[in-house]
Amino acid sequence: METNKTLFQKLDLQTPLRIPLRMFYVMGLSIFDGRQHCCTTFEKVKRAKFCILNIFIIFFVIIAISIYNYDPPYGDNFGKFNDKLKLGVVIAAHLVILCESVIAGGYTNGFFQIYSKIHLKSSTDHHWKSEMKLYWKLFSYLGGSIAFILSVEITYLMQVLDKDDWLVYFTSYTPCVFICRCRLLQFILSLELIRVELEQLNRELLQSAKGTGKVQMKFYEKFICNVLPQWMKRYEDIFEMSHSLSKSMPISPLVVFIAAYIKILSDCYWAYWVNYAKFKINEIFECSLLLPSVLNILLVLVVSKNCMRTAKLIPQSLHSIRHSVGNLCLSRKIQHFSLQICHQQIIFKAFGCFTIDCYIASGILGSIATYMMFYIQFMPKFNYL
Amino acid sequence: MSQQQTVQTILLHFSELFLLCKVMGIYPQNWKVFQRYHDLKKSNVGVLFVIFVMLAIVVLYNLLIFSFSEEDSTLKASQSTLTFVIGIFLTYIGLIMMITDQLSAIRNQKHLGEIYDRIRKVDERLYRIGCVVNNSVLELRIRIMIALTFVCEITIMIAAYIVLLDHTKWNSLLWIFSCLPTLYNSLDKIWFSTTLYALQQRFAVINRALEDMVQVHERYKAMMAHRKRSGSNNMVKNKNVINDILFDLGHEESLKLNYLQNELRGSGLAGKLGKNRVKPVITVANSMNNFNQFQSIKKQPTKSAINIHYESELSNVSRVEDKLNDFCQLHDEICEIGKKLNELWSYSILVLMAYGFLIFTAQLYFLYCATQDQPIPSLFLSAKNALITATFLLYTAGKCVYIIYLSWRTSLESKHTGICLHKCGVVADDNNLYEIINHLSLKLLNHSVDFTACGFFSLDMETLYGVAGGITSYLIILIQFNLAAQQAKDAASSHGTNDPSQISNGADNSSEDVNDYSTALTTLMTSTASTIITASSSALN
Repeated sequence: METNKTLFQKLDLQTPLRIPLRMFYVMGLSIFDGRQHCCTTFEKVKRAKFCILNIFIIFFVIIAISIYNYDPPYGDNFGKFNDKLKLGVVIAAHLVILCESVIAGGYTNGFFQIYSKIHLKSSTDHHWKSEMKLYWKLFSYLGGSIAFILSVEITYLMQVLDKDDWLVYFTSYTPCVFICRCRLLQFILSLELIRVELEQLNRELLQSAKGTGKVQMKFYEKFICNVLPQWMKRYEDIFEMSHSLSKSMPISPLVVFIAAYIKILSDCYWAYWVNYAKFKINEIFECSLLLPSVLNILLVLVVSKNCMRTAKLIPQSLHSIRHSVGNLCLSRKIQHFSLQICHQQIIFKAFGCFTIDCYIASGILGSIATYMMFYIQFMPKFNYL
Repeated sequence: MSQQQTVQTILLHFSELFLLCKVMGIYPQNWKVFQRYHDLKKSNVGVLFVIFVMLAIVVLYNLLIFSFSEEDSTLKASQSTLTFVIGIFLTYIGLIMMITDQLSAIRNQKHLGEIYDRIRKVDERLYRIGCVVNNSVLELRIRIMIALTFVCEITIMIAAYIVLLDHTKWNSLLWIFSCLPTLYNSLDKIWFSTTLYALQQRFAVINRALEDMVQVHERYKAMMAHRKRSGSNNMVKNKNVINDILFDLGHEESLKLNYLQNELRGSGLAGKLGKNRVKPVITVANSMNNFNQFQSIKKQPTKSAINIHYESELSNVSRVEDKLNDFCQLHDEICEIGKKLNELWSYSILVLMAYGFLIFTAQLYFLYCATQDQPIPSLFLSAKNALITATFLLYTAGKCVYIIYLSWRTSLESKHTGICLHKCGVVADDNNLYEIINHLSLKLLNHSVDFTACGFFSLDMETLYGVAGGITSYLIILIQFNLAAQQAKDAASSHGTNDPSQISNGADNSSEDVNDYSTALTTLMTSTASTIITASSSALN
């Protein structure tokens, strides 16, 4: 017990934060469970036990699918291709996520270590109300998403309960999709933590900048001059956090995005198909399958955009600090901080392919519209039968 | 290690690759000079040999095309105009790629030696600062890549010959020459990518040296703070310092420190091989908060091996100024070498990317045709088998993606130097040092190395993403054209009218085709629009 206590002191995470971390750990999405970092290889392997569980799930799914011979209605080969593509991509995404969480798990640990280090320092003057606000926000993001996903999927499941082949197909890929979505939620959690720290730093900077207009110049300049290095260090730590976040999830955002993109396309196709073939299922439910993926992706984009926007506010606040021309010491430090921000940019990219912000939403929408046109053109083949 | 005496050129590790390239006639440089001095010297005989090999392969490749062209006449007759045209269009692209490689090798033969000379000079300067680069990784990489290339080429060639070709005809043996252009190209690209990797390594070494300095100073600062406090009152109250130190060291590591120290002393302070490792050593006495010793050990023959207690480079501004300046100049030089390297290979990379894009799309399209039992051009007959196609696609894509990935990583690594430099500034918190670092940081902002394909597009992951999107769109458009043509043909045969060709021609002009064209147009517009959006967003960022 005694050792446990010291370990907790070192990595001081609040209980509300430890709950989602524990949840992701149980899902096999990380080998970090909110407790102390493990050093020996044996412990690392032990931590990966839930990932191994996940791999068994995938094998089970593959075997179930290969045994079950799925035959599309009306000999719609294109629909079959669509389904296979969706299944393959989703399973591949799941595998990539698992491999990544085992291989790059150390960086997640690094992320939370830096976080607790900054948080300890800043939390002294941190009001508990803002803390509660953060946890409430996190809870509404994560809990709300999961509740929404589950409710949509369970409603759909009730609808297709009497169709055997639909049921088997749907239940086979849904767990993998769920894990993929949780990966994005994990990403959102880290982004939100970074954003809050950035906001806190920005607030402090802005307060001092306002003060420069009021308080007697020389004394105040000295104060800022002394405090600036701490801010630089804080910013550097936050940058390190973002760096270790992108190191802990190097390719999974890209893979999950692609999988979600293909899933949306395929769901669009089937929603159209159900309408077109006048199949005996309420089309609302088929369309409802689209919603969780779309919302999931939009949430990531918005949160990531907010985080990067907050980072861009910091240089503005920094340069609003007024100082006398002769104060070379302060001007040097401000210049240094400014250049530091130029180099240490907080930008989140999906494996360098695109920046994760709302710009790509328009691109995704455009390309989905284009591809849907192709898909609808491919479809009328079975019209002749 | 041999690096103890003098820094050797990285060409030492290229000898196997050079021998291969020389024998096969890709590089014209003088073999004897290379063998003796590990230097690339111009050779006129070599140029003649390369040109001879090039002409020979062109002749043989044409022979292959003509001997296989009989089958293509049936393709022309079977109304699959699109397939036929694509086949014709792409016939010579492999050959063009090979010729570009060889011609640029002849053009570059003087400058190539200069590049390696410059890299050697950079290595020497790095060595003088105390960083030694581990070059033996290059040799391993070259070997793995050569092995992979040969395995892929031979598997594709032999599998296609055994599974898909008629063994009874003598001219099917000509199939062997079909793999030569891609093989030549791959060897050339191995050379390029290894050199690029060497540059990346040098950037990484600079970054690591800077980060080591930061770490040493952090511990030094913690130690100084601790000493001050324990000097004023023996009781140590401030747990933050200890926490900071424990953060850096990790819980378990601190318990092993006694052992570590003994080992370091025992091994004659050798440190780690070839790296500028500065190892702080802390003895742990009875309680954990009694850090009474701090040593930094340097592996530099000119200076004393042990810098005595409480020493960090970053606290000595005049000395660190020289070192940081050196690092920045080296960074600049490596960037320049990178630009030169990129310039030397610019045409061949551009052609390779074009080849990759076209061949990838075409091969997938032909795979689709083959699954629909349609005839395909004989040069692409590997598309008849899904497994061979998969190997071929993996091989081609791997080549293109690896070069793009490596360029992207190198560019990132070069940008990382600025980040490390500012870490030094933040951790040292010294007024004069801020001035120096501000100056160097601006310098670094202007010295970034971005790799481009002849200036047409940059070699980074964004391009790769765009290309992947392009391949999918074009593939779908091609398949739609194919479907339309097939439907027209079916309609013609079901109506049973006099001349099927006339009907199909008529059907081609029907409204369905107009629809296709309009769809293709919309796709093009949309994809262009999305490309512009992406480009503008990246430009904004």
